[in-house]
Amino acid sequence: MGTNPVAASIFVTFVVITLGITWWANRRGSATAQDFYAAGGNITARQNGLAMAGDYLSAASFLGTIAVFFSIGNDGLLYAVGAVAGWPIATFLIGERLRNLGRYTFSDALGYRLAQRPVRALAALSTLCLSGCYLIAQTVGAGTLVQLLFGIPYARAVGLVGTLMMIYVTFGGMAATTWIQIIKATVLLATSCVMALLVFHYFGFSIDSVIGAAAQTRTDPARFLQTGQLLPDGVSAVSLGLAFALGPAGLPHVLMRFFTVKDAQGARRSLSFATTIIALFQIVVIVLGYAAAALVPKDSVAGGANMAAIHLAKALGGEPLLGVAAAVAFATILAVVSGLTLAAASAVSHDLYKHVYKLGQASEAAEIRVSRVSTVILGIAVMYVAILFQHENIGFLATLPLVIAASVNSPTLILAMYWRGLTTRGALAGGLTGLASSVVLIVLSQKVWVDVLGHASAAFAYEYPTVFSLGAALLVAVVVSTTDRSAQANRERELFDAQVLVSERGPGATRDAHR
Amino acid sequence: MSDTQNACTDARTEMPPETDVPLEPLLRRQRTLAWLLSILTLTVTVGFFALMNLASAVMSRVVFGRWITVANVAAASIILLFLASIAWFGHQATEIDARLRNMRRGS
Repeated sequence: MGTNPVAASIFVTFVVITLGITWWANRRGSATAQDFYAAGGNITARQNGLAMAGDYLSAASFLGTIAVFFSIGNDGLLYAVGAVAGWPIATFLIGERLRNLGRYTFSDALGYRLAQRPVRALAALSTLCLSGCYLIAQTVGAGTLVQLLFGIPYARAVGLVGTLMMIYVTFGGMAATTWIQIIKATVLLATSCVMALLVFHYFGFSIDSVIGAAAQTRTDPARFLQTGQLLPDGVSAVSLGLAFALGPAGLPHVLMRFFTVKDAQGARRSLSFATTIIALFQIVVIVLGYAAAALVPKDSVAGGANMAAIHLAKALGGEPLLGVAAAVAFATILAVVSGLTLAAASAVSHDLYKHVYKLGQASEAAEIRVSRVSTVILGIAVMYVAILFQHENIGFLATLPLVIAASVNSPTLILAMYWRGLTTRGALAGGLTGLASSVVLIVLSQKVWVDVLGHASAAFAYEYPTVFSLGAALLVAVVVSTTDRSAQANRERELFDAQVLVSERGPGATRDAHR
Repeated sequence: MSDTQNACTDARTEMPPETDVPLEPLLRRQRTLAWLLSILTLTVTVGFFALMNLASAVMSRVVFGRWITVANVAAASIILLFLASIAWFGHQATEIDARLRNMRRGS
């Protein structure tokens, strides 16, 4: 496919606007840690909700979910429901408490009553693993898309994405990243809604007709409707469900957004708004998924099933709509990788450098400098690995971070905030068990051990390991904490009441108690 | 800062204030609601994923029109359920928000 002028012009417009925003954010001030990590806390709940939705509505949500409907059928519903499932839990259990206990990263909340150095090191390690997986998935998607759109070689396309991402984060910090997400989410939603309207117009405003047309393109229409084809067994299905339900509450780039609003109520409202947007978007994606199966010929899809959404746009609106959809999908990836990079760089600078290495004594200027250098190093590393992972399925790569988040960050955060008994030793032992077991079992599974590494058979029988990794993390955390009789453990348990007070009533609650 | 130091240095000697007792029942109710809705969300999600795999025959049965299956209806219902639970939780929290706002003004 040659260069699409509409796609090229929209893409260039998006890049120019986002670079302008980065310049504005840099001039407005990203010199203090509060500005760089949390956009000065000046983002409103609605803006933040839109940015959160933007962070989560990635290439996997748009391209990957439609690809599953296109290539398998009704099993695409798993991804659509899963994409919404984690947000209510993040709203009910995490949002307000995390905002009240932390400042810039979720490890601030973990370190409220637990020993700061070890828990911050754990949080940074999981953040880097998780963001690394996510970044690779997104960058692979971007490379494939640009290759398809502009005829640019894959490696050069990955280089372009990586360079832009480094500029946004290095110079614009959280303010630039937030506004880029807001613009991207708005454009993505608008484009998807327009495509869905065109689909309904084409099929006489009947979802039954859309699904029917999709099923009838297959030699066996009943098989298109049949579920249970995507996942090989019940354990993998339950594991993926757990990853979707508990993953978002542990994604560091999403958790960082809780600190960009002024208070806990703002964090809760942001989450409500984000959930609503994501839910509506997934309903639109279901319609587009069936439409792609109905209107895009299955055997001749340039770029593979992951590009079905882009080909659907062409079927609905010709070259102009293809250009719009492709540019929007690319903008989506670009915005998401920026948020992820900021989260990973913050883990290095705020947690590892300032609190673990410098024992909390580093100046803000030095901390931000480390964050910027980390961004560049991370960007280069991700570009290199994305070139190696060129032929992996985007949807699968994007679910790996959810497994890690659901096995490490979410259980550790929930236990720290709701269970008096958790101690530093328990949190560390549980977190490391969750991290090691999730990463090792993923590597030993069919998708990596056989499909990527070329072994004859999988060493781990299931496709997703969350049941085992989350179970092991919780068990180890509980056993180690309850058997911990140290003086430090006793003091951490005593501090639980004070932590609950602040987490439910805000930072002022302790000051009120003094008066 | 030592290896074992935490961020709760000011709070460790403090106890919850006794002047705002009426707030505590509201917070307790909200905490219970948060856990109930979270468990509901988790159960519904994992249940849906399990049924899609283990009860394929049921989930693939057509219930509306010629092509809309149990899986389609279940997916749409679950998404709507999530939205409704978020709205209910937010509505319940508004009373606590107002009480906390008054407390801050008072202090």
